[in-house]
Amino acid sequence: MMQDNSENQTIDMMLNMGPQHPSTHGVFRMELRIDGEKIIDVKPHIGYLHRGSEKLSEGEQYHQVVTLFDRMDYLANFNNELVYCMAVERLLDIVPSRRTEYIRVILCELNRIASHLLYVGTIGLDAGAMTPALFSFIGRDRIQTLFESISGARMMHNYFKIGGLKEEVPTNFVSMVKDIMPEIRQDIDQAEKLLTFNEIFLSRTKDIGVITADQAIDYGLTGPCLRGSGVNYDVRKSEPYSVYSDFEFDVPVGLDGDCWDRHWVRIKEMDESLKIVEQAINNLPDGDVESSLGRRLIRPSAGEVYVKAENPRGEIGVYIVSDGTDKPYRLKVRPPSFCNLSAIEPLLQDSWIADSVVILGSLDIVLGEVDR
Amino acid sequence: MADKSDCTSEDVSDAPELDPQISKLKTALETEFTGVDLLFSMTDQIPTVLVPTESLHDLCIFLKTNEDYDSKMLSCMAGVDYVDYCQILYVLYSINKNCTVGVKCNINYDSRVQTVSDIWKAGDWYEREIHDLYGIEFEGHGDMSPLLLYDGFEGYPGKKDFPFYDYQEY
Amino acid sequence: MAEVNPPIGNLPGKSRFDQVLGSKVPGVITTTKEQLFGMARKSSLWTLSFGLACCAIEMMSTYMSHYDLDRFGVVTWPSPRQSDVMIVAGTVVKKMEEPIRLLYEQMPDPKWVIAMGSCATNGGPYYKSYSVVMGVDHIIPVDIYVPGCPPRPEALLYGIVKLQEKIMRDSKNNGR
Repeated sequence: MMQDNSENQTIDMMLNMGPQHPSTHGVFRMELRIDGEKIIDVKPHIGYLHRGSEKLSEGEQYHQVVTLFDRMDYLANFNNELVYCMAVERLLDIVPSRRTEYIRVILCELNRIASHLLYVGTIGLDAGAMTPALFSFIGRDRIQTLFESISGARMMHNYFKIGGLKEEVPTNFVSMVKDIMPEIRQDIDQAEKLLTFNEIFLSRTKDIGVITADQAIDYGLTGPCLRGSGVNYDVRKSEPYSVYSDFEFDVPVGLDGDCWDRHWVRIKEMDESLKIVEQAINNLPDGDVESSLGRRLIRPSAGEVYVKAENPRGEIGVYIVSDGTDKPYRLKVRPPSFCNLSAIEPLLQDSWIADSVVILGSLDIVLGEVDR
Repeated sequence: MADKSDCTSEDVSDAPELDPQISKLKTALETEFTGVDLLFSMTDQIPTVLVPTESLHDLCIFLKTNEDYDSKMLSCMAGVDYVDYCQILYVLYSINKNCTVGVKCNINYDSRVQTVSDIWKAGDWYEREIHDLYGIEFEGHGDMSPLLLYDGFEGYPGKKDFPFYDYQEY
Repeated sequence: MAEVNPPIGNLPGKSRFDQVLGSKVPGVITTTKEQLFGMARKSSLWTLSFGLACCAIEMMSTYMSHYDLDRFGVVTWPSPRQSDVMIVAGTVVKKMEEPIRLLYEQMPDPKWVIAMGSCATNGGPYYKSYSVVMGVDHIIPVDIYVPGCPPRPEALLYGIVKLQEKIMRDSKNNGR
């Protein structure tokens, strides 16, 4: 639709930031209506990665659904597996051993650090800096090599089982994690030192993409996007799950709600995750990680369950309806990036085209979980 | 396959030991919605109320503005297909009071239900997704174009009678 | 150990290559033009950065410092008009068919396609799904298939090396 701005004799233009774009973080399409360089209206289109995971899980047994969850948010594999295993454990009313819970928390927090390191790399690329990406991927490779020695794969681990873990961790697990922690500390410092207080990065992200706390709650934002606007909401603190109540950590909260605050919250969260990993690895209890279910087929009794957890991107919710058979009747995932992305329309109003890339990068979405 | 009827909407309001969360919800709602037929249950530690479609919108506004519940955030909207009707679960959360409330609504496939996207903006995309998967029309929403599926997709994949392994074009 | 040969007049001195191997390598090589172009094309493959899903993360890891792809001459380039190879990394969904076809047709000849991961090869773990194309070769012709879910960075490197060998072989055989 064209609009005639008669004082300047200009007409609006429709620009398509299509599904293939170096900076849309996946297959995401935006139709921008622009007036010169200013964005007037944006119409987002998603669904270019809709694989039908929820419908597929109705045809698979409970143990087999873990692989689908791995691939939904492909940057936080362990966190997704954890929330699914917690949901089914609550449906079956079993409690895994303390050693299992501690190892799960350690792996989830390391995965959080890996996900935020990738965020640091990509926000640098979006703002025009290529070097932070090279440094942050070194840290990511270290963590992925550790994961490979534990679960066998760099990315899609399929390691958490319902009620326990697939197998015991290697015998040098504790020393491996203790050795890797100062190296990760160094990699994080190297990568974020180039960006966080850099004058160019500050002018690209300060006061850009401001979202107020009320708007954020209305749109259902969670995670660093909400905490950057000043709202102190973290599922690990308000409704602690697994063994998070055993650890002492802070929750960083921003002030203004702009892109830089969201960036700062994520940098500080990496420090807090390292603290949690250190506390957990120093107090790792002995015991068994075998699931009490063994290899039996599970048929939970009819019922429903809704479980929340804190992913690196926000609050993930899993709703399972069981009808007594060995396959779920309905499995619904509430992905954090879905709600974070729906707030793109007010964020991009009256901003420049170049800023739209930085704002989208600061939301840190993963299209695999938006579309499922 | 086992019993397909709705698993948990039995009315527990007459049970001898009422969960304190449910009794609190019951007292808050029954004073306000006297003529309406409400059923209370627990969806796994979340007190839930089942409302008929006509009072859904008013109940949601009440829960958002009430100071005990203050549900400013719509966490999730999940649709479940029970062959004759579809049940939508709204999970509402309040950050200040740290309390979760659930609202359920049974909708027949040929009827419509009022939108909640004017109460919480998060409902916008959730309703488009439910429309894609189940074919339910939301009155007052304004823009029901497909969100996850492409234009021209036939059928509603969320329903149980959608062919599973046979739907192949290649 | 290194001798410094000062330049004479305006001409540069002998390069290191000439100093070490000067007498053993012929100064003039005869070959067909197809082989020469094939060697040039394989040594500088510019890939269209087309990451769709999880395999894109492993593709990004391959481009970065640890498993460097730049030493093979491979640079990731955002525009299809100036790239040679399209690495389809991730699940191809029916909604995405038309953009993939458009991008393939926008690439100039000669072009190659690498299908990375099991989703691009044959649908992968989503082969029963209602909205997934069972492999990208239903849409565009594919030269190299790299299996894995996701394939390790070394596997993608091996796939690119195989593509380079394929280019050299094709240049000897049918002059493309």
